[in-house]
Amino acid sequence: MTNFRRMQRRTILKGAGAAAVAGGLGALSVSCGSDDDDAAADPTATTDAGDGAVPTTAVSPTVDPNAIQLADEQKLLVRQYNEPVGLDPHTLFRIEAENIATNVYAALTAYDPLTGNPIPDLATEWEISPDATEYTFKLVDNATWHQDFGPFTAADVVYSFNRVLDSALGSVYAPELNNMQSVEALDDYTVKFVLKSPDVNFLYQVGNYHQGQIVKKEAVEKYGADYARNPVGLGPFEMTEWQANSYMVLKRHEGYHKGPATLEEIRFNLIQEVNAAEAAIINGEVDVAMSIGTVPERIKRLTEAGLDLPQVSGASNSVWMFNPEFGQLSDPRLRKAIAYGMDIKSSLEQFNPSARQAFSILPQYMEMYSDAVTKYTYDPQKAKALMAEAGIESFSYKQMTTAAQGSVSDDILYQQALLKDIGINMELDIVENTVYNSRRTAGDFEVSNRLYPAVNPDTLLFGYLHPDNLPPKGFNSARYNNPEVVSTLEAARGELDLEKRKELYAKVQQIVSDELPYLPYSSGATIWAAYPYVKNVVVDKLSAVNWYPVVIEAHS
Amino acid sequence: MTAYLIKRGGAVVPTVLGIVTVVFLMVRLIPGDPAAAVGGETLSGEALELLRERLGTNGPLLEQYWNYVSSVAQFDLGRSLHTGLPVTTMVMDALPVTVVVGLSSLVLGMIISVPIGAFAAYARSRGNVGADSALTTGAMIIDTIPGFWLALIFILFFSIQLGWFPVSGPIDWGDPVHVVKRLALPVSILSIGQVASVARITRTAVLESLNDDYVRTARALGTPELQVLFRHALRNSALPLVTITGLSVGRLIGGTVITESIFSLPGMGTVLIKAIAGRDYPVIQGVILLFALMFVIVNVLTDVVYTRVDPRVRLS
Repeated sequence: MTNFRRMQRRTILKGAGAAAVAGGLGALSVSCGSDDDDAAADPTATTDAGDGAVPTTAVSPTVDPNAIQLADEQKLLVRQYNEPVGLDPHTLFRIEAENIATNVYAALTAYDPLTGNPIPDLATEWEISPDATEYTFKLVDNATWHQDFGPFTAADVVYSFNRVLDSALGSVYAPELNNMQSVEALDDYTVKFVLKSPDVNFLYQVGNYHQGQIVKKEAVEKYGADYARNPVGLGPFEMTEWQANSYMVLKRHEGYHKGPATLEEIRFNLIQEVNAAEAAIINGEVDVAMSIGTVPERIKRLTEAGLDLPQVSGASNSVWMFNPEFGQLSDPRLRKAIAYGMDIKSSLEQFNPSARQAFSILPQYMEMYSDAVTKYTYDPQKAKALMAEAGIESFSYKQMTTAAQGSVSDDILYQQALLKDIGINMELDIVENTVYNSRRTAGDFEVSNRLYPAVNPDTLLFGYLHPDNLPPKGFNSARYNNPEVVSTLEAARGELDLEKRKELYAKVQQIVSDELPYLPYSSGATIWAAYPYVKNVVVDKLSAVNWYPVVIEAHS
Repeated sequence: MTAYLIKRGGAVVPTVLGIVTVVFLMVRLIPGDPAAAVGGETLSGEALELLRERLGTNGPLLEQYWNYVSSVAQFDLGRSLHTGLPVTTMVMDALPVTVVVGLSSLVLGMIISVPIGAFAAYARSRGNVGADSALTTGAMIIDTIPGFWLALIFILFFSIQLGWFPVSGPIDWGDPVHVVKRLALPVSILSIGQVASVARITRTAVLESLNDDYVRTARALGTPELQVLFRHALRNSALPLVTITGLSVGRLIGGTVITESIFSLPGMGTVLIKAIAGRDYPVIQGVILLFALMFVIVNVLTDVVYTRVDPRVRLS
């Protein structure tokens, strides 16, 4: 520990977790108040990197639990909108499981709920080699596993990452670690990763999400095929009960490395139907309702019922994907004609007021977001001019869409009507959700839409734009392949200087907005509902909530 | 009777095999990839291929069919593609909720609809066409109301406005008051769904009986009208009622699928809806197989009940 610190202070600058990633640097390592026991024990404490670095918010300090009178019973009832498939982070679970998984498991880094940037968690500090191919993490020495599986050590990290890469497991997240060459434990509390090529974004890959979540070898072996129903983690809460199709219970983990949570128990009641969920929270059957939708009338009713609406806005952008293999759409002028022919802003204001028009693949909150892009706002004359330039008076295309709640969205119908006015016939190709996902993955559509939640800008840009990710392998459904964009993306991934990296990403965003393989459409919100006595419910950029700082205020 | 049951039992085997085959093919004809459903929308193609391999959904159809049929023959319904849980466990966990809701609805539905049908018939027989029309038309109007819509209206009124009944949460079987409150709305919805058909059949059967000689005789002997209606006419109209009750089970099974889902009840309907949305082949097959078996058994029981209701009926 001492040697590590000495080396660190001698050879490198310090920075906050966010700065270490976003800033790349320069600041090749981070130290986050690991010596400050009080801060570590306080769920609402703000970590301070020291040495003038930018402080990083570990959790959103909305209310100091010491400043309010807490309820005697700290037991929470939460509406869960879908039952998790399982809670083995390496085999599979979906987004609905994250609210449980991110609280049961822990990882080397966590994501700051407000910025999405990696912040220290099981790793208190780290060192990044100048060429960004080696990452050395110093680990907490006081973390213990759920169910008395003993203390956490570097060997657990090595096991966990090797497990993801083990072909025998068939982890769907193995591709996320394609760039990882090796991981080794230097001692009980130090672990080192070696990458095949430079990646300044690797801290995101070891975050509290899927492949980054650490599992215990002995627990995996003990439960075998049933491990997904018996998760054992290092997070602030442990799973104690799971009744299929009904509910799940988490109890606080007394051996959590930041100290036990204030909440004693969280019971997740499965309520799939959103109207029933609304009734349940208004009736007081649950204290918090996860993802209550964005229908304005419902939001109004919940507000009138005196409920708080914790939410995250603009965490991810939905994009329209143009398939260039469909003849007409291979012409960028016609893609732009579609973009100019729609009034996205007005439509969202009318039908989805919690959303805003998006102008880039990257959400605006990301540091790598660039505003210097071509913005497509409603201009039917320009759309017609582009069609005339292409020598086409009118054309048709198929818009693949789903019929959520039994009908096509008003938004799509509105755009369909506007496009018809300028000679573009949008034929609706309505399919059921699973079919939609399958066809989209296979690239079997003319125009469709995708919402890709991610906090790593590199994940989004590489995923959408790199030819290595063509369907069905990856997310580049527009089959976009621009050598200039590819070389710029690869350069950005290895670029340690923050400003230079920003410039590279800005260049990519500009080129893409001009060629328009994807039309950034909207940036929406995820809205929860909670009684005002439930404090510190902060919906993060992945639409999950860290339950650790949540407390229940005394109420009648 | 025993010979009849053995004979009918033997006929169940090819029926079940037919169901197994149809369901097996049907779920695979539904467009959509189970791996895409299990994985959600953020899994790439490479990851999906890994998942298909793990789920065993990328093998030849015939091989999958053989594996399934041989497993079912050994009473093994397989494991869920999503949760990895044995389908038998999932189905058995969910069965009590569905059976309680279904049976309660059946009984409540009868309690509501049989008197409606009987009174409508009585009114008609006494020349009160208006009352008959009002009752039968009312029942038919109720029949046209979609169950899911009525469920939402009930939630809005009884749950949100009046706060009488919960719409979520696990069922605490040890607390009868809680069970009644938790199941009141879904049971009511399903009961109402049967009213029109049962009332209509009852009306026709009772009306026929009311014109029979024995009813006239009873009246001539001064038997009170209510007694004539319920003790004589209705009792002799039981055969069609037994038939419609058996058929109602099929309708109830369909109803529970939607109703359980709306009221977050952990029954077989909820399991089935989730399985269909997630293309969870083994679970879909398991639940439908059990539903089909329930229907077959109810039909056999209906036949048996015939002999009790009408001694002239012989099982052959």
